[in-house]
Amino acid sequence: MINKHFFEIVLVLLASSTLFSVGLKLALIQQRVNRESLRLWNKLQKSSIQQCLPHRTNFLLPQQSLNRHWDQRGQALVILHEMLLQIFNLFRADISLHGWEERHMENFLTELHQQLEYLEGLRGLEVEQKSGILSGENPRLHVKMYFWRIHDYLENQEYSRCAWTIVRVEINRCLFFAFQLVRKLRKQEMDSLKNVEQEPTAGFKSIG
Amino acid sequence: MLALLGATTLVLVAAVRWMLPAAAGGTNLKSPQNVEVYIVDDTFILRWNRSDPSVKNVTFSADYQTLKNDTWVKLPGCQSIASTKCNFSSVKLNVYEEIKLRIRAEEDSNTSPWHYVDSFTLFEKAQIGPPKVHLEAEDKAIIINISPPGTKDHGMWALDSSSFTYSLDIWKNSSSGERRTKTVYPRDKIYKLSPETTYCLKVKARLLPRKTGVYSPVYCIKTTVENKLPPPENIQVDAKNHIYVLKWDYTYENVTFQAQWLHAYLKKIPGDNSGKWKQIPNCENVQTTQCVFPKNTFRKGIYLIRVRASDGNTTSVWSDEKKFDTQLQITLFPPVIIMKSINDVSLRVYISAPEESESKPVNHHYPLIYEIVFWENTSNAERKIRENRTDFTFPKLKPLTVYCIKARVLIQEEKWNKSSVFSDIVCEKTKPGNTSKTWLIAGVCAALFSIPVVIYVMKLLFRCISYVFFPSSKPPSTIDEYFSEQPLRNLLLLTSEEQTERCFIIENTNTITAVEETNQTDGEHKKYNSQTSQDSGNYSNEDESSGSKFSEEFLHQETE
Repeated sequence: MINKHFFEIVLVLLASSTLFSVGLKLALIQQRVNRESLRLWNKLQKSSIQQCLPHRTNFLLPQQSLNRHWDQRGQALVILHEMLLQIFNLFRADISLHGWEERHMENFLTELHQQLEYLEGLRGLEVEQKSGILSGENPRLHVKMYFWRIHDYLENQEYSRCAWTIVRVEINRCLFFAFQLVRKLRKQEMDSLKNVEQEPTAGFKSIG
Repeated sequence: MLALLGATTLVLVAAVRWMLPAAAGGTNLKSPQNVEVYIVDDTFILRWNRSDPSVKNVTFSADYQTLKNDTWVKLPGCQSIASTKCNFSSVKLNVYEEIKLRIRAEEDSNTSPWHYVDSFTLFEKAQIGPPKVHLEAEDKAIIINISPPGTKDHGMWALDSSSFTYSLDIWKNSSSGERRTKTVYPRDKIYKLSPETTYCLKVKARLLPRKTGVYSPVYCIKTTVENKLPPPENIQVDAKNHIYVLKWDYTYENVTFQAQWLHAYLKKIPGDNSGKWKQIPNCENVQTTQCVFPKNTFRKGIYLIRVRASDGNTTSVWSDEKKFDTQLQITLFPPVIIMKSINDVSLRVYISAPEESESKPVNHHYPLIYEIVFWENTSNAERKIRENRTDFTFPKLKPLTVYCIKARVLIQEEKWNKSSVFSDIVCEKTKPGNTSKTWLIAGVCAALFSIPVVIYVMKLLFRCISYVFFPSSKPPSTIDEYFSEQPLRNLLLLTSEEQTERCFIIENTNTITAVEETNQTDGEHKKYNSQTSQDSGNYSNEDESSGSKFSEEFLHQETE
């Protein structure tokens, strides 16, 4: 508990000097994607959620298996990238099929797209291509499996309004998991920042 | 590789031999060999070799099992197959789930033992097939529309249709060389081509992390005759306080322009999005080569902008599509640098991030990089470095040397570069550094040696001062000399009253000895007097002859 609060405080203190750090960028992702998803959420009426309760299902968000991959920074980035990509893929397909307000959906997709463009510019994903991840350990597969279950459910429910409502709620859950990842990344970022502060001259040895 | 194949074959053969005794009914049918799963997109093929080509009327059947269900299920499309391959594409399976396969040879009621294939997922075995490409020609550009690989909407790549990236190779049909390779969106445009020229291209898809597909067939298309009206060029968007200024270049006059925008994310989605372009307000039928629209036209995000010209009769094709990220539509200002000289002959540099024109802190999505140029003031040799920290040190420099620094801000992204101008030059002199230690030691030694000298000088000075301002009540030295005996000398230093008392004693008791004594010393005194001071000599004579007179004179001198 102490550690948790400690990191929050340190973050606030560091914020001014680390405007360009990955951690903060990811913090922005969290804010914005969350805001848009909450706006969409508000569009759903409570009555419609209640009426759809019988359609609930467990999509088995693979928290356990993904948690194993958190250790490496590259892997956390990969999971985050695949999740945002899959969410984009899920909602871009059938904008007209569900009756959600199109403008909010556009904003949400615009936001996701921008985050994806940013993530794709990071070095972590290149590392993924080079490192020899064994097939069974590819975290993208776990994410895809989960989204496959969502697509499968939608198909079986014939893309009904209730099915979309349930999926919408599920994606919120998934986003919260993604934000946990973001926090994790931010923590790693801060730890590496601390290391840098201990050796402020390290970067210049080569030119000295 | 060959060795590996050989080894596996050996193992397989060994396994088959080992399994033979267990075969049902003691038949001599052998299991198929070299069983392979070959998947491209949504086509699933199982291939194998016959173990015994001489036996006729043999058919093969395969089963599959998922990890969820422990029972073996007949593999559709792979039952009683006479040839050595079957297509099981019709099976409805989760492509991400691990499955197991087994296959055996059958002849009437005889069956061979099962040959088991290691568990695998269809997705991981799958190779990416060629994408389908549709081309449209303009005079100096080709519009491409790529359909993702795969045949089904809900097939192998159902979750990846937005994840594919496409690599395109394009070349002039006439020449064999000069190939251009580009990464393109599913819906994209190739610019800077020549009119009335045939271009050929092929495309392949990639998927993270490491899947690379096969190339599509080569498509060729001829660009059209050059249009009379060229499209506008060099489209730029500049942000001012509350507006955006959209500018472009155009050579001809008397034309009107029209500008449109599109959500950039639509480019990631395959399919026709040409109907989704929207008009930019205030940018329709403009006669100038720029138009102005309010910032709130665009929410935060990435957009595409295109412009075309029209002279009433003909209309140009659309210009290049300009990518426009609202986050990046700021003018980058140079950073502010502070450089401080610190110990160990180092210079510490602090960079403060630049500010936007509206004096808001920069809030980019993209990491800022600082390009720093550092040089010794007297030389021209520059060091150029890239740094993303705002606080760092240049260690191990020359002592007492002036170094200068300037920096600029960069945003570097795969498809986008932006930089500020360089900041003002800041110069700073390094500290003396390690040599200061020897100086310190020398200084301490010098100080130690100088202490006695100083004390001596002070003493002299004090003496001079006390001589001038506080003259001593001591009598002249000749008197001092006269009373060479210690007791008398002490007497002189006492008050005059006591001296007079003593003088009386001398007068009363023995005058002869006193006179004798004066005679004895007289010669010396005279000699001394001639050399130094006449006055004191007189006084001393008087003194000796009469003590009373001495005291009078003494008092007289005191009053003077």
